[in-house]
Amino acid sequence: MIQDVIWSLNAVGYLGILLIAGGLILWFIVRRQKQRLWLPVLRVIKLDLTVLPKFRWIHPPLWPLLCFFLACLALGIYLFEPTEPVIKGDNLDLRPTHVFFDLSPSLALTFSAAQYGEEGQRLLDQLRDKAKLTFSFSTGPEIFTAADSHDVSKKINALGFHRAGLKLGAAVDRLLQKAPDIEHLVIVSDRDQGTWEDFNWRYLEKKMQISWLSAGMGGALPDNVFIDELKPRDQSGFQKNLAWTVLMRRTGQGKALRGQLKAELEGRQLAAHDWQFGPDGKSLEVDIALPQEILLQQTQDKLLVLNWEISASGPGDLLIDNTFRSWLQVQNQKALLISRPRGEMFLDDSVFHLKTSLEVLGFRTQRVDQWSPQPALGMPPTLLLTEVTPESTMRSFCPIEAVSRRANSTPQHDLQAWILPSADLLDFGEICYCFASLLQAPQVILERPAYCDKLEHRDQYVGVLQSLGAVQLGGSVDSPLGALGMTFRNAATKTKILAFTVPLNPMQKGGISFGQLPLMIQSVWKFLSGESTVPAFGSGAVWPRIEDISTSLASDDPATSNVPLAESLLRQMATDQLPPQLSVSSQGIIRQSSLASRERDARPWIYLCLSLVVLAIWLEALGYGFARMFQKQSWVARWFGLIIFISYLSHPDSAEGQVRMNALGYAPLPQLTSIRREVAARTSIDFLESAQQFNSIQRETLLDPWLWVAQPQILENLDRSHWSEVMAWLQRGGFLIVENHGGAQRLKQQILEQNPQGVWKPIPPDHELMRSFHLLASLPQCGQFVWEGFHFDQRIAVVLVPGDFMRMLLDERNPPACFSKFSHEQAVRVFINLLMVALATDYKKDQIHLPEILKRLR
Amino acid sequence: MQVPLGTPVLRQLTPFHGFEPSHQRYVPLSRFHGSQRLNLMRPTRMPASSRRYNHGDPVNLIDWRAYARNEQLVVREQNDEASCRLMLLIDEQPTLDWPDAVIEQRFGHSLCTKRELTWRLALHLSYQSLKWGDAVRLYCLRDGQALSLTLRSQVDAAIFFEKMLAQKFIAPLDLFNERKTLDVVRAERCDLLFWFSDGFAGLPDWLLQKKGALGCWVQVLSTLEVDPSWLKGDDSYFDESQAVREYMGAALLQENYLQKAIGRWQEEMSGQWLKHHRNHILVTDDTPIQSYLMSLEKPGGLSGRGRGPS
Repeated sequence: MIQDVIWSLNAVGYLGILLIAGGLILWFIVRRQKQRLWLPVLRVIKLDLTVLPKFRWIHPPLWPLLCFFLACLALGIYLFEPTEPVIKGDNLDLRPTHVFFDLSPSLALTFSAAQYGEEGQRLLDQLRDKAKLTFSFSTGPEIFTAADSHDVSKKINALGFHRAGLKLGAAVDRLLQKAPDIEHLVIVSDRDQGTWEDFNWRYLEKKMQISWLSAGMGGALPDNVFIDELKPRDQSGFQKNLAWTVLMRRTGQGKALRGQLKAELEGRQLAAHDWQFGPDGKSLEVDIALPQEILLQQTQDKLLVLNWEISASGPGDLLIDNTFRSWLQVQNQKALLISRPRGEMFLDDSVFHLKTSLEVLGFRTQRVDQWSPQPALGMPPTLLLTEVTPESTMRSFCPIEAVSRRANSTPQHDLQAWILPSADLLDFGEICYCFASLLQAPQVILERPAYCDKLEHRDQYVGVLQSLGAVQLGGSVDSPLGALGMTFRNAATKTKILAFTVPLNPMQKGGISFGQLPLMIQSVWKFLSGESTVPAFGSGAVWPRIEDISTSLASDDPATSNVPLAESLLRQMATDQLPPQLSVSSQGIIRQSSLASRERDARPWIYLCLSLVVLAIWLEALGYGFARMFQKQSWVARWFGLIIFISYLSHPDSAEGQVRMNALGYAPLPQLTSIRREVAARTSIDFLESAQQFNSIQRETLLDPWLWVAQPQILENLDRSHWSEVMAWLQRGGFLIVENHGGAQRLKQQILEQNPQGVWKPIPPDHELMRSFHLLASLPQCGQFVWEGFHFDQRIAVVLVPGDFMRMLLDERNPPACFSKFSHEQAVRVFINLLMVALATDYKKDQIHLPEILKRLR
Repeated sequence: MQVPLGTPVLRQLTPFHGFEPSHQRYVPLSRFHGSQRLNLMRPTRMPASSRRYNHGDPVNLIDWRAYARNEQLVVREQNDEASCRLMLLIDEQPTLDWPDAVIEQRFGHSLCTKRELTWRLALHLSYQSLKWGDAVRLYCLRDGQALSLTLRSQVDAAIFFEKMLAQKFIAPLDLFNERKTLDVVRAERCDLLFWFSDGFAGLPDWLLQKKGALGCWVQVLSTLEVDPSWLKGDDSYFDESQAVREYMGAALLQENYLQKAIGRWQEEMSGQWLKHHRNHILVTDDTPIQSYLMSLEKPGGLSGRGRGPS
């Protein structure tokens, strides 16, 4: 928030005067509020003291004073930027000073090269006699001396802004290699983040002084509209050239922009498209189609430059990188495939996949069943691909005529003829004959040569090809058997013949798969046609963007580079991340640091101060409130913090998760130390040692979640009001355990009358009580009486225990007679299960943990 | 000095506080009258008139028989008493009205003003002296005039005290009997003179040079004046007669400046008074009654013209 505020000295002055005036008024009011008292003793006493002055210092309260000083401190640190004159009047400082002019495209946005030249000229004029001056531009490594500084304006005009980006770190590094004795480096640039981000000037500042002169940037940056990405639509082959998707972006927001996008080829406009950004639009995708006719007229295989230009309709919408270049290769390659079809299932047909692969690569393909000597209409194919099957004869597949015809013409490019054996080929005689014919074309071989007879095996075939002078393609050196194919260039007909030695079917040994087929064909094609440097098959390949002009290769042309994205985005560095700023004025040159100490950013301290101020004000308000509350007791106001602290300490939170034995009608119970230990060791429940014991129903009796009753008669003999309280407690979620029930028909009847939807039943072996913590096999019987439960509201609300279970639990040595077969350990387990049911009912029914359990199991 | 809680202090003083100087036994005989003691240099046989021999006493007064009995030199001299003329002068200044309402507001309860204390002391002395049979004249010096109050008996003093109590010790003019000029008062003869004042207006020359009377200055100050530790540093303090001068409490309290200055002033005033008269008593509303009465017994107090107890 604070960094957005722009402070001016005038405003600070007015603010200061206002504060002082306010302070004086406040002082006057405070002074008037001070009590004046008549003290007659003063009449007789000769005092050397100074009489009360007209203006006097009134001791202010501590906290407001501290706040005031902190606020002043923070304000001072932030507001007053220390300045340091770099060149002090007549004191000539003749140290080597170098001025580096940044001519990167982001500068072109705000002003022209002429304005930039003037500004640069003004700076050099100021520096000329005061320093040993040299200067250079970002366009090249050349360093100019002070003698050249008179026409720097012209130089900048002549050079103009380059389209390549600039990285200051690399540029300065290159500069210092050439001129290491620079002591003061002045960088004339804008605040563009792309330019500055790699420049660690703080490190360099240990060796030399670095200053920054802000170029241009009078006001807010204009909106930059630029082409971010350009790609052909997702189509293959020739169609790919026709449809393009242009991704345009803008840097600003809030204003609707419109304009036109044009595509040009060699000065000829191919297409135009109107675009429009909404007020909130940041990016825009434009689909543009190029006319087919014009492209077809273009020379084959030539790499063309497609120029994209953006123009904005608004006068203020100045665009720096309004042109964008992309490659365009007019790919009018044609392939003719000669192959007999293999049924309708294209999976069996390897040539089908071959055709698809060629189309992917940008070929226009044509497939015929067999070769016909008549020339086809349209342009002649550049690739002839013929597949030899066992039943085909040489005349039906071998395109000798197409090759022979080339001997009469003077074609510019080589024709490629690929001969492909099918997978089921057993006799290589015909294919050998075809290879020999193509090899000797335009000479006609009327009969199959003798060396082509009895070629029943691939090895023999490869041997014959090798002996004919064919060069192996693929495989290892001197091992033609591993070759993918054998090639031979017929110079008379300018034909490259490639005889594959293996069928192009998917096979494990050869490593061929349909997926790899396009790549393999592409590399074979590239190898045979000798294309390697230009992007042959991709039309619209990315035109290079030179990120840094100083490290660009010699082959790159900075003038035609697309503007790098970092420059186009116009992201700005914060001023405090830049070196001290130089400003040229009529009074001279001032070097100004945005903060006195750049190593330490004062902002956290300012925030700290402000937080302290807020805290202090809050404390003051609180203290004042306390002082008002305890006007007479001054010690309270002074020590209120201590009192609060002590009162906090004296009220510790009572522990939660404690369970207490809540018993009704028992003889005094002994200490529950042993059972407490058992519960604590097995569960995480803190079971209290001291039991809460009652002889009648009271309010406190029904505050705990459970209640143990010694005899059912105690409940049966309750009066109506107490009985209704117990029932209400049960319905609220209470858990009642009645021991020595001995049938207790009356109690059961009474409870059932109050809760007719509940039901009494003996506790079954699969009850929650049997598995809530320990897995119990059975509950101990006492005579013919069993454990019974009243099930109500999907839980067990009352448990009737036969016999004196509590005695069994507490008095290990003398268990009750009816529980004689029952061990103490079992009693403890039952008790813990009871405790669990009382606290959590049937928590295992709750599926809330199921996702976690499943996650763990997986 | 902190007075123990419950000790009767002067702001509670009434005329009826019994006062019997230790050297004097009041003998209710018609022959004895007044508080003035006469030591007649003649031997007597009355044991009540005997005392220890002091160096310089006439030898013929020694009771040799007693000496023979118990080897103690006992002087037998005859004492007698006479009525004494007592003049009480109250110097009424505006400063007597201090502590005022503003100060009372500061403390949150009513305080005893110096005027009240002065009247309590004067009427107590009047009552007691009248009880002993002395002649008492009470003058209130106000605006260069002396307002006279004639008290014929101790009953008169008691009635007057009740009236003053009802008026909160602000005496209206009609309570006084007559109005005299200061010259008349100056010329009037008396044996004992009590001057009640806070001393802020200084000591009048005529009083210092008044002949033929034993003078005692009962200097009445407020406790708050003697001990200014109640002052607050933030407040400012002034005097009405010199309103221009105003001091911060912090300046006055710094290094006990005010306390020391008051101490110096008291010493100076006391010395000035004692050059001409014999007794000076400083009282405040917090002075214990007992210690005030004791100080009255000092030479120059009510012990009379004769020699005081050694």
